[in-house]
Amino acid sequence: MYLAASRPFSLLRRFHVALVFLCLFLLLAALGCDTVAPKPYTRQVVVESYQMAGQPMRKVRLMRTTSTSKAFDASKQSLQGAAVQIELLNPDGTTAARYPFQESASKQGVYLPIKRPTVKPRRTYRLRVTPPGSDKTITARTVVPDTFSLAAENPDTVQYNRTEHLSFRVTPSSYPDRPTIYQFYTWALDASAEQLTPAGKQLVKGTEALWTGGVNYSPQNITHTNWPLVNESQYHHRSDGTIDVTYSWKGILFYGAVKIHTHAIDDNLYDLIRSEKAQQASASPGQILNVIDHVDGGTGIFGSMARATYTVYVER
Amino acid sequence: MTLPLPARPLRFKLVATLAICLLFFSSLAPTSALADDTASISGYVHNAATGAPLPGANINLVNHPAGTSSDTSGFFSLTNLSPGRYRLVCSYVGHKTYKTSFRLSTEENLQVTIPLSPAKIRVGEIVVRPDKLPSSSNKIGSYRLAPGKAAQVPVLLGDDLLRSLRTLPGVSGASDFSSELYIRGSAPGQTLVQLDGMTVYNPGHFLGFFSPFNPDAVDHLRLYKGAYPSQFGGRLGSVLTIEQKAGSPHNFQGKLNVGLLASRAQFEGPHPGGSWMLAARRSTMEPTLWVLNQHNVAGTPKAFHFYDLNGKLLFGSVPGANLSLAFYAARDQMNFPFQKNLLFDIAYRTHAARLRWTQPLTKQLSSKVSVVANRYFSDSHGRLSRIPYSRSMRLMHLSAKSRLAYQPNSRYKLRLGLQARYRRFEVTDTHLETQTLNRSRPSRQGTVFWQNIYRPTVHWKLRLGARGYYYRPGPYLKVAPKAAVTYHPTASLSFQVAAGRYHQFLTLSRNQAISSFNAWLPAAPNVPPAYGDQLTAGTQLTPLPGVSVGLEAYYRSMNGLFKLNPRLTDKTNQPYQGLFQTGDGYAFGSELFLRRTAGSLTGHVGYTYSQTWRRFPNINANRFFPPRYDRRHKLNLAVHLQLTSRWRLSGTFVYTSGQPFTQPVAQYLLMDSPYMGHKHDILVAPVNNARLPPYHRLDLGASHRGHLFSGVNYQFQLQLINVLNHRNIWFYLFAFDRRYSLERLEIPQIPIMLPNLSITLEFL
Repeated sequence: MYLAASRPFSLLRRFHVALVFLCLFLLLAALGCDTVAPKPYTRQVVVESYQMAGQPMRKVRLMRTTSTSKAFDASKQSLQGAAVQIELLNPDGTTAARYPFQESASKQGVYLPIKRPTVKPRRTYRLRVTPPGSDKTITARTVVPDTFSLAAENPDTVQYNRTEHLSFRVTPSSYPDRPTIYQFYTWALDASAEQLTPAGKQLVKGTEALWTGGVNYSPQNITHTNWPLVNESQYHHRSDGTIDVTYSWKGILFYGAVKIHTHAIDDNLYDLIRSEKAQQASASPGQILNVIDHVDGGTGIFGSMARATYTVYVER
Repeated sequence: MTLPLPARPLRFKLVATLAICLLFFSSLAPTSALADDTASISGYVHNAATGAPLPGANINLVNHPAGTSSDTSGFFSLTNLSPGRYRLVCSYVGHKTYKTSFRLSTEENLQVTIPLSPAKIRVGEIVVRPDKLPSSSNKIGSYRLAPGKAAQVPVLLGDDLLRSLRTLPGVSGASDFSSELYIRGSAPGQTLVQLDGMTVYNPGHFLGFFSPFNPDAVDHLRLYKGAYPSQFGGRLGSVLTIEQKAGSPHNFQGKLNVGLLASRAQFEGPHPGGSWMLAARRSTMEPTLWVLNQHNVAGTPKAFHFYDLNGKLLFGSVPGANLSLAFYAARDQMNFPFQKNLLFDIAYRTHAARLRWTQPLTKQLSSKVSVVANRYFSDSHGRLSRIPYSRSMRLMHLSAKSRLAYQPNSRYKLRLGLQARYRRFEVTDTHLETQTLNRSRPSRQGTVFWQNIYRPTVHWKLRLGARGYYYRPGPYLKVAPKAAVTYHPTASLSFQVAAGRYHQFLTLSRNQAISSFNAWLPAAPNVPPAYGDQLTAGTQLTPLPGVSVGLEAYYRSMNGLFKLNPRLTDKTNQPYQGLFQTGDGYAFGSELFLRRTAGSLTGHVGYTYSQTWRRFPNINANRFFPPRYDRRHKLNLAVHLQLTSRWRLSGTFVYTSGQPFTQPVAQYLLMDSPYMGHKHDILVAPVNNARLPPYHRLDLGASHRGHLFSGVNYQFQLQLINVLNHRNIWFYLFAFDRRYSLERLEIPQIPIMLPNLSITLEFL
């Protein structure tokens, strides 16, 4: 196809068009600037508090974040002189009760409730912290999971690996708008090298020198272990309302007496635990995920849980 | 999961309305053009040596305004011609110009076959006529590359078609070790890669170190960087199509290449009913690995090999009715320790075949019918400190497609297509021998597309189209309009604006280092497909013969991006939609491209300015962040110098802004956790808040071509990769020491200069 109005392209015209091209491009390039240069980081206040349903109100610890370039020294980062209060909220958001805290005389950065009220299940609590010299208040909320307990029929002694899973029965917990999420934490009461189960031996042998920086699992430092989060829908619900909770034998590292804490956790702990795990164990090297917190004006955790503890003797 | 997203600038909501209006008006156009003359000429353009069709060849009549270009099957048609005598000229880049004269009588339809012979590269071979439309081989927004051109570019690990694309503006890659492409801010999973119409789901050997495409088996590839036409679909970003060679219908010929890393062979020739082509490639690293393992070099695979097999059988002649069978098979097997106590045992395979029947129905109408069967499966096992984990992926793809091409006159082209597709995705993860994810999801999809090219005058060209999808499970019914307008004020200058909507019904969950752990997962009920809009504007100028300058700007949005939630700890009992998190994103940029294609010194210079952003729940307080595909600035240079008829030198230089990464800015310690039993450290790490140092690399190459003995030619290639010994950073690893102090370990890309030698024998 020929162009009807084609004419010789004069040198001047070429130069003119080239100049227009260049100007257009420079204009487009100038529209952007590098906006992802790291912003100077200002230190944040870290709150740490875990409330247990049906138990007396627990402490609040305050500290500040610190640089990653030097070792973390908790005593130097503790925050003193803050005003701390936990409020029990009504369903409409108004305050039902206020529980002021006072700074511990013996532990820096630790604040204890002046009274020790029992933490009510299925209720909402709000933490308010005002750092010294600041007019800004740091707040966080938690909805406390319902209490639950062990059912009566659980055996005192089990044989390691005899069944597919270690199983025990609990009464149900509950949480608004979602199934209960369980977290397990075990504590081996008879821990020693001789008492290692096959899973414990595998863990100790396999980690002489991890490439991630020299974590070394000796029998002494695997007495306390925790297990990934589990949704209650995974478990069998009995007609009497109780739930058969199963626990993998791979989480039992020692024979002898073992204490298994089963926690029903709130949303704040759920987000913290899962995002913390993702931060530490990203499948893609070099990829770090941020931890999800629900603290307005600061960071850290104000969480709650309900607990049932099963103590069992694990035979060889 | 959906986000409460605030309004964002640059969204163009009127695309669909505008496209529908344009469609309506353009559909009126061809009827008036049909009425005048009755004589016509039509036919096929093909490579005289191989018989392969030549899409995009220019066909013009001397001293007459009629002209056109051939379609993907090499077909062209010029209608409404007055009876009389004509002189036809057919040209195609890299081929000798074909000229013929003929006489047309009233109502005659003359059918011709045009064989174009490949031309040897010589100074001044490419002639650009100032009164002709520019060649359509490289249009605004798309780029065509033949393997011969790719071989001129020194790239890591020999002739690598995908890596050579990185010398283009707007195209970058993950690392020196990966052939994945980041195109205009899109993730690799947002680029459709098709080999002879067969979708390639894992484009890479040895975890992406090697391109999956044997260059000897490839006729050409075309990259649509954005706003691609409606004949393609299913991806938000770009399209890369690779056409395999058809065998020579005239004589048997072959090629043998021996290299340190891989070797390959390719043969082709006629058979009684048509032609055939077969190409095979296998890694030949065993001697190298043996030496490295003898010296206990860390990270050396204990065992590794890959192979691929390409083939094409053709029954009938290329120009005209024919039946073709194309196939591709690839396999990777490796066993290697990545670090102490970290071991990988990986195998993955692809088997794909396409059967296609091409049939001209009338002088103006032709059809193609094809069926594709494709299987991809991978089994990746890792063992970190004897703790095993694995991922198994199975993907089956079956599709049937029919396409009609109608060209009533030289001003109007119409394409209609139908496609039915079935896919099944199976992903299984295990950790400590316990299944943590086990999903099997089928999907069915019906697609119809329509594409209309109309040239109302010699200066204007309109391309309008739409693509409709019906997808199950869901179900989802989606329509994606597309439009492009090209204006040629003179033969040396053109402008184009294009826009369109795009949908993507599957997502690629990526592992940044070990690509075999990648997993494709489909849309489903409550997991709607992602969609996005694209707008591109560009101009191309040819101020001097053989010199062109291009400038393009683009904007693309991405909505409903779904990906596996990395923070999910209990995948087994989640409903399918619970596995994902949903976000959005956008990208924009501009690209400047200066190219010289004639003379002994050829090459191109390009500069790209671009930004791309993503947003997902609970990342950086739901604010936009730059993903790892973001490269603000990119400067690339590729030069080829033909010293003599035998010696050729080449060089490439690439400079890009550093890749975004997450630099922890602070830390704290949780002291009292009742669920851990010990203190544990938390990093305050806004995602991708920093950048790696800028990347740059200079590569040089030299080749010598000669005649060995009767019927056998040779080519010797020497390539030097990273001549400046620059230590580009691949990524940083962060870990706490016992005192809760964060340490940063630097993982480099190719830290030293690497030579590569290869010898190719060609026999005719």
